Amino acid sequence: MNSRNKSFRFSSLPSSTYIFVILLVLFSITVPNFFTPANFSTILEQAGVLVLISIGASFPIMTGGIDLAAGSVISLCGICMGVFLHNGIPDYIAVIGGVLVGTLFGFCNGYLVHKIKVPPFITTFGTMGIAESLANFFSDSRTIYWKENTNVHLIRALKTDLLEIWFGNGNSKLFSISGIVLFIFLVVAASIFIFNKTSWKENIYAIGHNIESARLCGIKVLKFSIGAYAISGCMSGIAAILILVRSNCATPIMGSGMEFQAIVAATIGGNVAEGGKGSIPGSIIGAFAIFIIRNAVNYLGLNSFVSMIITGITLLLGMVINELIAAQDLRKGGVRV
Amino acid sequence: MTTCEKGELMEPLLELKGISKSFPGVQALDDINLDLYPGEVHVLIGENGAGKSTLMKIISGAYQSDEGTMEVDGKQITKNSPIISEQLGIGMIYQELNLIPELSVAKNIFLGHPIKKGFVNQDKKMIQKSREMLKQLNMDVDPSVLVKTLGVGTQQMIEITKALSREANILVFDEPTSSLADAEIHNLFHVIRMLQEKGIGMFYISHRLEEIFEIGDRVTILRDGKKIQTTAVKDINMDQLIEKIAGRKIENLYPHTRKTPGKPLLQINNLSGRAFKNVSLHVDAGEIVGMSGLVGAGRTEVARAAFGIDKYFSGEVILNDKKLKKCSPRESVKHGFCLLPENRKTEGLALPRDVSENMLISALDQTFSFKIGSFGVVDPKKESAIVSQYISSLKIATPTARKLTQFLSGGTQQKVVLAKWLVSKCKVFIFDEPTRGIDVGAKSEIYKLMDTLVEGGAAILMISSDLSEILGMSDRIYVMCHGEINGEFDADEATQSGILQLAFGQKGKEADENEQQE
Repeated sequence: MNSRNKSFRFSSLPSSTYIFVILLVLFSITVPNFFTPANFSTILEQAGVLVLISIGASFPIMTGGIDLAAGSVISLCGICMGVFLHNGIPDYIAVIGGVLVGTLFGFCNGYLVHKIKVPPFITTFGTMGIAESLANFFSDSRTIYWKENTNVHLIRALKTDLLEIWFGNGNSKLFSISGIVLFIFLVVAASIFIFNKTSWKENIYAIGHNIESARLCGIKVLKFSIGAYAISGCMSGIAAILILVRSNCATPIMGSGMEFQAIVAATIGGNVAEGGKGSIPGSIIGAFAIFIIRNAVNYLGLNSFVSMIITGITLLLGMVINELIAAQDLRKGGVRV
Repeated sequence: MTTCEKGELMEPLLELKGISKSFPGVQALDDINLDLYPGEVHVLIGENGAGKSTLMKIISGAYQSDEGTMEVDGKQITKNSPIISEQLGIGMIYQELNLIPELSVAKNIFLGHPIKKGFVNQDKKMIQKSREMLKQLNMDVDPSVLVKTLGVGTQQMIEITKALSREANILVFDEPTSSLADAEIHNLFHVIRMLQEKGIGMFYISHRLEEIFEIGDRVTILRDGKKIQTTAVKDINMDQLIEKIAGRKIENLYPHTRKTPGKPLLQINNLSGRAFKNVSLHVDAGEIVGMSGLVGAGRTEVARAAFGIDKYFSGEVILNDKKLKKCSPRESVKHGFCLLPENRKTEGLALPRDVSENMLISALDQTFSFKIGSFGVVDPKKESAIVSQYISSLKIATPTARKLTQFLSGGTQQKVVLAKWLVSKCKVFIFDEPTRGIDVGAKSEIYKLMDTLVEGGAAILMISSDLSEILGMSDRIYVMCHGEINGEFDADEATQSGILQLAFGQKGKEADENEQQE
């Protein structure tokens, strides 16, 4: 009986895996130019933003909360970085400053939710408005550019391709890994390591399952519960760097709507709203699943609202799969005495 | 204070002196002195609200006392918190299980104090260490499985292991047996005796009085936040104990007398569902029928299916000669059939609403002053008339009908649930664990109410894991095992061991060999 529990079970995979595979097969067949190395390098590079904020979104969800402010915090962080760069501040300072702004916002969310006990939906709904307005205020609702001078070494480095595979006589790039992709990879690896190998996973699960019992276990509840929101804010800040590097400008709407996609990705990744369960890899695969929808819709030349429709359907499908898996678990696993 | 014979030789592990604690409007604890010696089981008993849990929360640091001092190993503790008490070697095992279902056994055991190297958790070491600790308690559990796959009894043992993993030498059990079946309780007691031999001191809170005589060395009785007495268990008997707990004499805990049964009010014929098969039973007017069995035998599932909460595959439910056509709670209530659920806080009541609203929720049409079809206007006068009638007839202990049910004691809450169904004019009642977590005084009141109900021609099916309750209250007893009814007793022929034998599936029925081993 023990061996059964240890061995690999399909039901232990997050439902985002199934959805990702289904969508990948579906788009590879139906969408021209989708299943190409060039497109995969694009996906790797562009999905990074969504991957990072999906990881960020997982943390509050696992504690039984939610962070609706993630998208507008990206805009605010991006604008802060943009304004710094515009004024000639060296890019590494600008970038760190932006990430700190995001982390601070997350910290405030966490403090309000867990210290003052404001419901998370209301708290982050409020800070979402604040972040969005601040982004518009600082940028005067305009796009912010900066000069390509000596202060942007870091940004230039991130843009450089580290690995390129060319086809034929150097006229078509087949596959490339840029500094951004490496950067994303490092952040993802670090977050998976921190979550699984240090005490974060246990403590976050305990808080999500029952915050009072976690307190009575001697867990530093405030540290981890506020930390969960701070991580979400920090990830928004890092995501803003990626958008900034790619587009060379900052707009006050650069993150709007992203929280929806991130929450969908985290949810189909098995991070359910009741808290106390979930995983980081699930969210990452979920983020890729959501991103390839947008990618495929672009290739087909369809209106971007179509991708919203498919995303919504995917979320519901993911929920159905989650429920089916849970029912299956109940029927098969049952209760062992 | 009587000294325990063990105590004369040893220093106390823990000593409380003059502990007082008040909450707004309530003096929860008043000048309590208490001590605990190595290797003893010190039982704390008292009615709900007597202050047992508050006292234990002060020991664990969840609450701060207003006055008084606490000494552990002779050292005075000035400031306590859950983290500090843990470092002092105090482990708590709460009534509700606090394990995280999505984490493995090992991770649960080391929750809050993982074995680390730098920042990194040493998973393998934790699994190995957990295995050793579980083995010491004679537990055969793989520490790498997720807790959600384990049964309640096993989870309880893991709670104990968790406390021991912090090198606790003082353990506090807060009603550890309330959700366990008899076999699991037996196992728990075995472990407690083992811990006793290792010199661990234990506080033990329970509402099941028989347990005190089985496991306790000393007993402290609390009433209304005051200590009544501490005495060696062997110097006191059950009647004296009950008298001291209640502060008044309860002549007979089980007031039920046999009535002449009338015609069958509830008949369940060959009902089969997901967790039970071919269940047939009947309950006649004027009868209390007990349903016994181990936790997980399918008793609650049968009740839920009959009442219409869960679907059943085949079979029929007949109420007062009428077959229920639809499987829905609404249909059942219309026929005067109701269920008082096991979890009254989540399924029986709307806790943030008041007594009046809870009582009238399923019979609002009786309060209408004007109505079209099923819509109507609620008349506050009719409303308060009905509510005050039931508050006085059931002796519901609430200052006003507007008190929120979440602030009522367990027994009072159960009465409100009962009142809700009485307002709906129900005649057939299923009580699922009617007195779980309810103190002795309130228990006897619930029993009296049940007796009054059958006196008036109602039929009651009572599911209970408490054997003395089953034997004391029932006219007939069904025993379930592995989803089937394994036998039936008349109350006069039933014995504790006879019921247990059937519950363990020993007699008859070609029960699956594998299932039995499990």
